[in-house]
Amino acid sequence: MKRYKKFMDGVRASDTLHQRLTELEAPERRSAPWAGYGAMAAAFALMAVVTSLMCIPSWGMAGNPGVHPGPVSEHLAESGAPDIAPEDPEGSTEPAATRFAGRYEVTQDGVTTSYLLPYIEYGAADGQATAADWDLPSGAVRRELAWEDIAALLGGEDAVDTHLAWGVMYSMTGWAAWNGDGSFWGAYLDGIVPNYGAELNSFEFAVTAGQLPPTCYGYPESVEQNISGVMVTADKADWESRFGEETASVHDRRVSFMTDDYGYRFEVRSGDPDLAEELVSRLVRWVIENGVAADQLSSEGAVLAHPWEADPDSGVGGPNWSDSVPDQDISGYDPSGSSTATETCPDCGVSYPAGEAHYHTQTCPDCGENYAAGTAHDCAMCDGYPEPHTCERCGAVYPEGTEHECELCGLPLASSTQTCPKCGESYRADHHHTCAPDPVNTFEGAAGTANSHICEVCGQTLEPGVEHSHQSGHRGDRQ
Amino acid sequence: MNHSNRLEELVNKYEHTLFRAALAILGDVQEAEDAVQDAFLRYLEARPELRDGEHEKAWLLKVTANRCKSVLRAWKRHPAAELLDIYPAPAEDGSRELLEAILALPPRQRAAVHLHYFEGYTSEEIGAILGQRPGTVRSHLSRARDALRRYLDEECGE
Repeated sequence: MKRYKKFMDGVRASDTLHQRLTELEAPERRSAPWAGYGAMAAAFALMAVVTSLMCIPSWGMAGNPGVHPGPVSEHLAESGAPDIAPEDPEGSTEPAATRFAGRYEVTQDGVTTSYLLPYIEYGAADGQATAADWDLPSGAVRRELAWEDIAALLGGEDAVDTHLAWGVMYSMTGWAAWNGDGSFWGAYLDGIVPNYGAELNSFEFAVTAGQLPPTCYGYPESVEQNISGVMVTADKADWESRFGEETASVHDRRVSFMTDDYGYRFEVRSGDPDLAEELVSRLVRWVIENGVAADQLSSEGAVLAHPWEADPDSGVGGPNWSDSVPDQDISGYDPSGSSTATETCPDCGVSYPAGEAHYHTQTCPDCGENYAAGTAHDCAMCDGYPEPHTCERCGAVYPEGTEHECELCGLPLASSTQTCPKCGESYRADHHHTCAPDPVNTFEGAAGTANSHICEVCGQTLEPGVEHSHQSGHRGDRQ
Repeated sequence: MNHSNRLEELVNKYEHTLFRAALAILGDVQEAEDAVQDAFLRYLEARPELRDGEHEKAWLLKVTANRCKSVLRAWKRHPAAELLDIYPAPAEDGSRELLEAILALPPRQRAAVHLHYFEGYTSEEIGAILGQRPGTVRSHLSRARDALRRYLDEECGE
């Protein structure tokens, strides 16, 4: 590595880069994003701070949550073409583009862009709630998400900070899960304003592939509305809650919708209803326009969501619904858990209940990522870069994708590779090749006349359709 | 010390370190420069209170590495030949093969190799910078050594 060190010692940042760096200025927006949005955002930020302060019981400010001049509740009529067009939830023929919940602006490189927020009608969530249990599917793996993962899922740090306005206030955690076949199952994110408690300042965002994110409760009074072609279901709940000796209003806003084969649910709980609704509108606008980048999440480091699946013999902690499968032949059932009730995976050695599906992961030797065995692996960090590849047929080692056109394995051959004209096998030019002719013959008229075939081993001319073999176990159906 | 002077001090102190690390991971001068600029920008935004210079350096390296990861995710199928074309020319004969071998490594291994062999970080420290477990870093280093040995044996008979 001396040469590497010597070379790297000679690598210097250019004068141009040095000048760029020394002229950097701290962008105001990134450290205090609301401040850069102009008067509207400033008022909004003030509103958020005031609301947050009201959560502190000893300050005694609860009871006046309505003092916030934010623009969120204004339904603006924009003359320009909206970037998102909510339709009237009541089914009015009035142009839907006139219904907005407000807007926000983003200035980048001196250009200010205004984004209109869709107006969302919320149904009352005070009806009879439907409770439901849900769980990750069998074989699923999950892992916690870092900030970088959350940003990547939602389209980048700017999306989280500027468009969703989460990064300013919320401390975020989350997890993602993948199915046993390695496909993305979904992700759940939680945000909370530190020190102020989850009941007044928190959100939950969930995205799942192919279905709405499971939830523990649903309300019959939810309002369904069409926003830019996406049916969005929304409900709200408002109540008073005690914080120590004080009482404060709690406002819960929730939406769920399906778009581009992903289901979303977003719930914001805040002391300020306008803040909650603006955050919901921001998310709906962003997701409908941009979706999420689930493929940017790697399952590296994910572990079985149901640890008992790795050791089913333990019988501890597993789900119990599979114990009551009807019409199951239990004549061979052994309550002691003997070997007759389990099978052992030949690949990973894990024992699992006989007759049940078994999933397991394997680790990519290049990037260390875990994925379901037998499935394609999309190596997030090293895919596309030259990997040493050994041709199974000719033994040549070469960077994948470079010249090696081995006819037998379908990959490019190395220049030093020869193909045996007799048996068709490819081998390295500097290797000895022992031709082992395949005694299998076909009857498709390859060598003799159009209707006959000459056996490569004995030279006999064979009539089409006639079985011909030289040894027991010989196959006449060469593929 | 005001922010302007502080920034200049930081730039003078770490610009080459960050640029080398970004270049080692990305192999692209322009992207490496952008990654370094982004790291200093993040520093200005966050103004983290770090205990000493070593923590400062590690923080900046971590941010740079994260930016590099984002770039790599976007690239995914960036052809390696271009990496070699835009990489700075080696200072002496014989280095080319080594650089080719290093650039042929997956980016995670390149990052581990650079931070370990050039910056002198331990696997635990590299793990903290790259957001990986120390065992994963050691695995990357081991695989990188094997790959480099194999490559250089074949190419140069070393």
